[in-house]
Amino acid sequence: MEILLLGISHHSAPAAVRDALAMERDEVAEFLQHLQLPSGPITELVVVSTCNRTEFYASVTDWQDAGRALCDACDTYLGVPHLGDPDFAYVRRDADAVAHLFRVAAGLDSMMVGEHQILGQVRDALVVADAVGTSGVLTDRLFHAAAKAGNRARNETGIARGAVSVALASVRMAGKVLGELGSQRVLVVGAGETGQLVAKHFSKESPASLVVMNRTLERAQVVADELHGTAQPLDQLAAALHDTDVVVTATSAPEPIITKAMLADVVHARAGRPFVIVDIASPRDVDPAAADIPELFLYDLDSLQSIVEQNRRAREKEVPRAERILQKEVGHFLDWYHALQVKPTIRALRLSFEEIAREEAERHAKHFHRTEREFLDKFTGALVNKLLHHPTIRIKQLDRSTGDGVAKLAAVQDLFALAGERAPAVTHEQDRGDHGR
Amino acid sequence: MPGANERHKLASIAVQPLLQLLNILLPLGYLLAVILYTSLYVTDATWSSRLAPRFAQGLALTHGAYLVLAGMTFEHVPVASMWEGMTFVAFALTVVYVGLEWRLGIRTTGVFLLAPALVFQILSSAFVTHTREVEEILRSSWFGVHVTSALIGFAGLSIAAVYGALYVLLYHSLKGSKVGLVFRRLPNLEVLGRLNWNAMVVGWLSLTLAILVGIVWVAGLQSRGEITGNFLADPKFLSTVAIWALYGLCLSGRLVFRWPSRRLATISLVSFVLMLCSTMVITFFMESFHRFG
Repeated sequence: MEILLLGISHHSAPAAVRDALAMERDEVAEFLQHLQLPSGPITELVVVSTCNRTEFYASVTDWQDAGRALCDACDTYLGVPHLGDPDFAYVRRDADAVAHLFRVAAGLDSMMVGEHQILGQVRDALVVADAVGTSGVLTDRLFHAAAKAGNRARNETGIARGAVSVALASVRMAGKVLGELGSQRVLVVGAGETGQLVAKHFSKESPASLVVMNRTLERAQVVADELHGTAQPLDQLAAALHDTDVVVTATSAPEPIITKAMLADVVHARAGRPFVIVDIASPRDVDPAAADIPELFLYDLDSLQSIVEQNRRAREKEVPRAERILQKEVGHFLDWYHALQVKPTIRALRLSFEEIAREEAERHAKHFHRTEREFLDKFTGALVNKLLHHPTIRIKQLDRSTGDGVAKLAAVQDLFALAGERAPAVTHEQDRGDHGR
Repeated sequence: MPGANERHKLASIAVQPLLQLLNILLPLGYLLAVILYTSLYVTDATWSSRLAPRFAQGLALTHGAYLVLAGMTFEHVPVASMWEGMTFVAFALTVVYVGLEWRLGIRTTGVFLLAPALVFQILSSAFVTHTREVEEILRSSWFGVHVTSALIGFAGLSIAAVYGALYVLLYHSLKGSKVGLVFRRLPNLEVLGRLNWNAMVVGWLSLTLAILVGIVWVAGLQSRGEITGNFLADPKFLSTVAIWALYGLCLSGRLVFRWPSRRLATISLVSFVLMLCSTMVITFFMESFHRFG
């Protein structure tokens, strides 16, 4: 039994190839059903498919045969031959496959470091496989461990902190100036695509009010309805500025529509309360000279892009810390994985029983004479041998190439809490040796 | 059988080594707290965000116990000298910070409040000499209220200055679209403005109480002929009233003229520097009615 990863991603394949292999949730389920696992060299399979990657994580008995089987399945079922193309696809095994999945879950393998969607997609991949019945003890544990590692890396480092899109950066800056956006009034000037995108991010913060203005009132009404706001005609802009705390402006006007004088008037009337303007229009809607007004925080496209860039760099600086966390989590998983061998399990089980016998004998030693204690040691030793005789035979008979065998080994580990008490870790070579025998 | 006084004296002698030990441990504790909160500010590591608040709470409790023990042992509120006052200010800063952290959940500003507390505690531990032999006047409950409220006022205005400075820093960071450590670690401008305002109000009210209690107390003492001299001409009194008036002007500016938080933050910072400088000059270079220790 070993872990195999076969996949393509934005690092290895162009968009056309990725698109050809990308599967929706339902398509993944159908594909897994089509394979009718366990069959041949593949015992368990989970597919992570997003717009940037399609990866097959499998528990296999022979990685080469399993790889071929997966390539054939993609070729015949999806009509996509690229999985077998070494120019696009990559193969990882055991520890490398585990480390790769953990990096994916943490968002370290994503286009944008710390990207948040991928963790949900990794979790969802297991849910789909579980529903179809192609996941098993190994992949189940692997994906849960990956989700935990991804969570830790995000929560304990800064890889997912700071806005990395202009729209989100606008919201964050406004929040940093004004505090809770839930009590602020937001005015969106211009109902085009860009304005709408930023407005959507603000509407998620449930502002006290959201007003949409546009040259054509009908268009403003459509966007306002979508964002649970109200619409107003653009000619009321000067008055509306006085009744708002945050302005998002994104019109296609050739000249600034909000002058410094207008804003000076607004800021003066606010009696010292800060005022935020997000100008994402090109050319700009707000006179850049307005940035000099105290208590007015003006963010245009350039400044927002600079903020995004600063955040991106800050995230990248955090990558080594995240990598260290992942390394530890990979280590924990591999401890468990390597313990799923016949010989180490028997050894750990025996050590565990002998330890209990020794502790109990020592606890009651004061009640026995020295000669009796020798007898007691012999007795407990014999008892342990008798107790473990049958389980040892049964464990030796377990077939690790089947899901059932792995599940039973895992059950023994869990039942007797052997993971932390087993004999020294087994190397990959020993692992394969055991399997060969 | 020893009498009650004798028993108290014996107990005091027994407690003194503990007080001496705490006098050494407190600055070390503050140093460790500053290191923990610096680490929290710079790295935002999980371990420091868990450990630092607990450590600060423990430190506040220990420091409180030290002050209570000192008060009981030496039979006066332990604010009878400048050095005793400093440890009280360090304690007040810590208690206020721990309270704010507990109430608002903001952990990243600890270093800015505990660093001045560390300085006050180091100075106090280095120079303080607790003694039971203080002037009788310093055992008066009027004195306790007067000095304690003055020190709470000083601590409040120190906190206002710290949050004022942080406000100004974040304001310029936001104006310049910079999202570095200041942006990432500090709470938003609105919160900093509120903390600055609240600390200033508490500090000013405490200072008002200290001045009023002082005036009434001295007037009573003078009428009974217990003290003589013109305290209205006392430099410390005059400078305190001037500082009090400056802060009062600042608070009125907010309430009447709706001054912006940035202006309040700047004024609280400048006023605090003025207060520190005037206190230093008067303490070290001028004769003052306020000299007891």
